Amino acid sequence: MGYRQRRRLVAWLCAIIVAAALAFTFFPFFWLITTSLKKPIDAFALPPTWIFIPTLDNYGQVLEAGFLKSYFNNTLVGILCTMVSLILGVPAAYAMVRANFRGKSFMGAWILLSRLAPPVAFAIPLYVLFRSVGLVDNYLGLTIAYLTITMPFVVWIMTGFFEGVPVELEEAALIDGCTRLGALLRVVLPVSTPGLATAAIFSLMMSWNQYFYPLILGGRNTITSPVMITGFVTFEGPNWGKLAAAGVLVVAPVLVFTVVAQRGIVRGLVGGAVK
Amino acid sequence: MVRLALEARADKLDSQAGREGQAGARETVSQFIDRHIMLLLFLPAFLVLFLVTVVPFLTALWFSFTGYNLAKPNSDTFVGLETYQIVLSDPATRNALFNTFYLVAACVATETVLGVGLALLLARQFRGVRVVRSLFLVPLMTTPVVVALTWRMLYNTRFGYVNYFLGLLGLPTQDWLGDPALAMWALVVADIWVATPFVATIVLAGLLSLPEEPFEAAVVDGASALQTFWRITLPMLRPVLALAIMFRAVDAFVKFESILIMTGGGPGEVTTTLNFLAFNTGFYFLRLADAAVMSVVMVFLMLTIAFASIRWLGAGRV
Repeated sequence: MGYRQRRRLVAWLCAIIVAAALAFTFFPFFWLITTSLKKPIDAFALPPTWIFIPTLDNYGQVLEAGFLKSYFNNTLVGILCTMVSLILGVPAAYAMVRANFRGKSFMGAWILLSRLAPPVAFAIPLYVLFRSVGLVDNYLGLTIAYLTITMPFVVWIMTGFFEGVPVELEEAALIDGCTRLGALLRVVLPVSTPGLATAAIFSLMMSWNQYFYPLILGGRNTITSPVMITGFVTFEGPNWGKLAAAGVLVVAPVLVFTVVAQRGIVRGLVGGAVK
Repeated sequence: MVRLALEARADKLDSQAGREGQAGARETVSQFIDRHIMLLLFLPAFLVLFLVTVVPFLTALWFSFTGYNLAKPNSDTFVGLETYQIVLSDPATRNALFNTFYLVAACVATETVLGVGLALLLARQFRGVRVVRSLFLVPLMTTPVVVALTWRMLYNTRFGYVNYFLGLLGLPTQDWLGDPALAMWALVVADIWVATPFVATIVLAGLLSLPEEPFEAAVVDGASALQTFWRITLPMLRPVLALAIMFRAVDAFVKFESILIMTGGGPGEVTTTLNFLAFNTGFYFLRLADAAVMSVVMVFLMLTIAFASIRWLGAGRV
C-alpha cells in the first residue's frame, strides 16, 4: 500500500471513530427530545417507533405541574449568585494577581481546596445553621450555599485571566493620573471582557445545574427545576414523556449557552493549565 | 528594566499625589482607598469565602467530635473521638470506602485512556473539526440530574434502548441497574459519557499548545507514530493530564446525582459511595455527627488525591 493510500485509510478510520463517538454522545439527547414529543404508547414502544406523530402534551403537563415557578427560581438564584460571585470575586482575583501581601498563596491554596471539598462537608453545617435562622427554603440561603461553588471558581478563572493582562497597560493608566481603582475599572476590566463572560457563564451554568444544595436547603417555595424533575419520578410513576419534556426544558438553556459560548467554556475548563 | 523604571515612576507619582493630598482633607478618603486598594479589593471576597467555606467546614469538624443527631435532643455535646470510632469501624463505611475507590479508579482509568484517544483524533485537521470539537462540549454542561434520568430510562430492563440494541446484536439483555455485578459499571459507562469529553477537551487544549520542534525532530529522526506518542507527546502532556486526572478523580469521588437517581446506592449497597453514605446518614437518618465524620474523612482523602496528582504528575498552575 502506498503512503498516500495509507494516509487515506487512516483518515477514514479516524473519521469513522469520531462519528461513532458523536453518535454515542448525541444518542441520549436524540432519545430525550423524541421521547418528550411522544405519546405514552409510543414512548414505551419496542422496537421504537422512529416515525411518530409528535405531540406537545408532555410539555403541557409539565407546565401545568407548576414547572415555570421552578424555572423562575432556578434563574433567580443563578443570577443572584453569579452577581455576588463576580462583584466580590473579580476584584479579589485582581488583587491576588497584582499585589504582594502575606496570605496570598494561602488564599490560592484555599481557593483550590474549596474547589475540591465535598459539598456534603458544607451542607451539614449550613443546614443546621439555616434551620436555626430560617434560611431553609429561602433564596438567600440557596445563594449562600451556591457561593461555596461559584466564588472559588470565579476567582480561579479570573486570576488565570488577569495574569495574561500586561502590567504595562495599568502602569500607563497610573502615569496618566488614574487611581488604581480607576485603572482596574477603565483599563483592566474592559480588556478582560472575555474572561468576565467566561466566569459569568460558568457561574450561571453551575448554579443552574445544582441539585445537591437545593435538595437539602430548598423547599416548596424555592424548589429548583432539577429537584422538581426528580419529583416527577417518585410521586407520579414513570411517565417518560413528561420526564423527558421536563428534562428538555431544563437542558435547553444550557445547550444554547454552550453553543454561544463554546470558546469561553474551553477556557473555563482548562483554566490556567494551558497557556 | 523598563518595567522597574515604570514602577519607580509610578511610585514617585503616587508619593507626589500623597503630598498634594495632605493639603486638602477632602482627598484623604480617596487617598486612603488608593493606598490600601489591593487589600480593599481583596477583603470582601476573603470575608465571604471565609464565612461560606471555612466556618462551615470548622463547624463540620466540630460536629465530628460530637454525637450530634437531629432526632435526639441535646446530642450535640463533645464526645471526643467516639463518633470516629463508631463510624470507622462500621462495615458499611468500609464498604462505602471500597466502592468509592472502585468507582474513582474505574472512571479515571477508562476516561483518561478514552479521553486522550479522542483528543488525538480531534487534534487532526479535517473539515468541520471546529464544529466537532465544540459538539463534544455539550455533555459536560448538561444538567447532571437530566443525564442521570435519561440514562436510567435508557438502562430500563424492559423498555430501555440499551437492551433493545443489545437484542438487535443478538446479545443477552441485562438488568443493568438491578444486577449487583453490573450496577457499578452501568454508572461508570454513564460517567464515561459525560466525562470523556472533559478529559479530551483539556488534553486537546494541551496538544494544540505543544511546540512543533520536537515533533519535527522526531520525523527527521525517523521515529514511528507510536514512538512519537510515547516518548514525546505523552511526557509533554503530563501537566495537563495531571490536571484532568485530578479533576476527574475529585468529581468521581463526590458523584451524587447519578447514584441517587440511577441506583439509589443499590442494589444492596454495591454502589453506595462514601459521599452517598454521608448524604444518607446525615439527611435521611439525621445522624449529623456520623455524616460529619465521613465528610472530614472525605476531605482528608481528597486532599491526598489532589496533592498526590500534583506531586507525581507535576501539574503546573492548578
